[in-house]
Amino acid sequence: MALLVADKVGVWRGAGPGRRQVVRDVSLQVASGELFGLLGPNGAGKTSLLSVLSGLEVPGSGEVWLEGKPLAQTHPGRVGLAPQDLAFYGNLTGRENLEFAGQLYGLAGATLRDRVERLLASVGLADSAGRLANTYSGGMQRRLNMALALVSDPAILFLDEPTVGVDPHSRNLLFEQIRDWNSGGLTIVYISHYMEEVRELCPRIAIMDHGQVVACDRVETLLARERGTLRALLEGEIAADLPGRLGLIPLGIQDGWASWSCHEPDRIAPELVRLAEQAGCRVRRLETRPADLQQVFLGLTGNALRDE
Amino acid sequence: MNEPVRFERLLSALWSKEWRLLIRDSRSLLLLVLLPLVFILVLGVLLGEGFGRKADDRIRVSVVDLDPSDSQGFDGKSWGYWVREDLRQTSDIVLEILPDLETAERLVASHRRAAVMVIGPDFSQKIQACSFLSDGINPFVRDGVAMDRVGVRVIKDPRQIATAGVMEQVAQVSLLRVVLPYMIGKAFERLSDPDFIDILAKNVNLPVPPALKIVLRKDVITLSELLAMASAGNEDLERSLRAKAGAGVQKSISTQFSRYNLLGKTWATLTRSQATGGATEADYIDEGGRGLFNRGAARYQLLVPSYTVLFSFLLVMLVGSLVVAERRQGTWQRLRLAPLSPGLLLVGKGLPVLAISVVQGILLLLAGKLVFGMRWGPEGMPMAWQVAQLLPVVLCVSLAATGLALLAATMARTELQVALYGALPALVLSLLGGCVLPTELFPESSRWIANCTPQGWALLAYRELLDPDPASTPSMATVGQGCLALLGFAGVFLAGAWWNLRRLWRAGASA
Repeated sequence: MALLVADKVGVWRGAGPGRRQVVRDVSLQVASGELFGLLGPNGAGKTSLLSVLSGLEVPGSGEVWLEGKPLAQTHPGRVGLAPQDLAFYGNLTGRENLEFAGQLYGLAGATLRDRVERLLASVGLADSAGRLANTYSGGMQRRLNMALALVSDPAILFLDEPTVGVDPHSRNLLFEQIRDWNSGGLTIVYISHYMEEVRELCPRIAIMDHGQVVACDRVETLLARERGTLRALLEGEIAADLPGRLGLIPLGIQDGWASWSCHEPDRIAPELVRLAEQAGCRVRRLETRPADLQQVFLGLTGNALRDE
Repeated sequence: MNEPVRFERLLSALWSKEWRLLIRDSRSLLLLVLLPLVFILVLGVLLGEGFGRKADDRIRVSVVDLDPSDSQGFDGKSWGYWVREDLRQTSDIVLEILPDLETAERLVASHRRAAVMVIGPDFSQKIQACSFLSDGINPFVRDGVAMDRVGVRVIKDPRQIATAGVMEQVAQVSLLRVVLPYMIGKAFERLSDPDFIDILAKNVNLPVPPALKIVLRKDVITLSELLAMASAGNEDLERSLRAKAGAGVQKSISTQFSRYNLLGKTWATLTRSQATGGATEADYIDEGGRGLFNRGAARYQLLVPSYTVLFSFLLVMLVGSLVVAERRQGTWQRLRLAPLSPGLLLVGKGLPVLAISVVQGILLLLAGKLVFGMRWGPEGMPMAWQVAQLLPVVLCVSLAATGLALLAATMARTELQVALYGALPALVLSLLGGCVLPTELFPESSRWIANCTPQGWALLAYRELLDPDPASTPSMATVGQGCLALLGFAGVFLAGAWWNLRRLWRAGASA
């Protein structure tokens, strides 16, 4: 069942002659318990779409539904948002930030304390909860930012570029945390322009460009559309018709390495070895490079994803 | 969790968050309290007396009268009184009566007075002894009255010789107007004195008529002999005749010099003239203060409220930067996702600001009292009543300042805009309202501008309560007028802030 439904959502910015549409008739669905990725280059309209999906902004056109109800009619606490900008008060401690956020959603007393302590523990900030947030490291600040989005016990959590300015170690910790929350049943929409992050975390993604969703599917399905690369160091000649039979497109031979372009190179590689050796050609080494999201994006839009 | 959150809980959450953020910005808070104190201190030390009043071009004659009021003088009053009275009737001067010699010496030593005329404790006694007779004190010298001979001295500041010289001349003239008529009157009285008639009678030689020469056997006879002959040995009659002779002489002289009343003993009666003007008289009030900080100086009654008001409105810097920071960060989005309304957010942000402003006002007034020795009201008014009068003004000023701070904060998108929309207008309004330069120093035609600013009304109320004159009774109508105007400004500012905030709230992510 779809938890979140966006139906032909349009968002406009500016006024008068400068008014422009930044999100164009976007429709998508996010299932309950899903970890969904929203990928696109800077300026693609991801954050504008996020504003509408999270309820920060009413769409100029179209509708957004959450848990079967129009988003405007759902309780504000059902949506958790960890914006790209760090959304906490630097001059409050981590605990005070969480307490304030909880109080805004009506939590009080023991319930509030329990929720705050549980969240602090879950993001690894229990020991530093009494420190002012502006003394936290970049990773700790990101974790606090995410914890704040969860204080209202939301049905869906939007994470907007959660790894900006975070070192690799902290990023891995964040990923573990996101996976934990998701495995606990929390629906998460992960927004980023880092395609490898999205690929690593999200089984299903939507790719945006110029305000439109240009693709929305499972990652494997999207990758299967594009050709990867297969390279083999051969001893002897392979049959001339072999590449054609396997759907390989020759890219050339260099220093004994033959290269082909193909769909799903990891699936084809064992077949290539088997058939080559049957024909008396020994494959001494083999390398595969599957298609990546960059290629997917390039294939869909004709533009590079501008990954940074 | 899905129940609507109660209003008071949301307000309490916002209050505690904003309060913590405000009080943890310790540098800004220190500036809000310390900076005005520094301004007040520096100006309090540097500025002279009379700050806040238009400069008086008239010469100030300061007098200490040590002559006891029960001394024998004229018309039941001491001669010191008559000198003061003469100065009081002198046009175009300001007469200042100092309480004691110590004050006089201190004021001159500290260059706050160019000179002080000291009427000594034996002044009446010495004036009584002044006479044209050889056995009396002759007070006159080439320059006028020899002050030392009548127990008067002028303490002069060597750095202000010219002003002191002018003041000494005023004192000279005044003494002359007191001493000379008295001596003339006293001398004229002597014309009927038996001793004088005796001297006169012995010295007036009259020719003896020829018919009497045989009887008297002399050609010349003195008036004294003539009166003795006329009284035929009757002593009472002779005394009576001598008195008549004296009265005759007096009357003759009076008739001869009819424009003057030679018996007058005062300048007015002697010259048969009345003073056409008079001095402005001021009892000395120690406006200069004491000690390193000039504690108790009258100018603190102006400086403390002025800078309290000025810095109340500079709260806009602190509030503006916090609100701008919130709008620029994700916390603004978080607030918008929460079950809040613009009105509730405004109240939640405004209340802690108001509290900070009230605390700031109270602290500055408290420092004014404890550090600078200012009064919180007229002398003699109970402290509780003084506080009860001041607190509503503090609250009204804080409300207006909070309103302006929130209005500017909701208009600005950047810290620079906070300065442009908040601090700059606050400073200009403070300037126009009289916080920097008292409105008394404005041209008459420009004073109305102060009434267009909340600062002007705030100062009107404060200064009514904190009048430098310790005897002044504040007009509650004026204070109430100031408070009402401040509440009006607060209402307009808060309405503007609410309208702005509502617009931002609706504008969504693009705000």
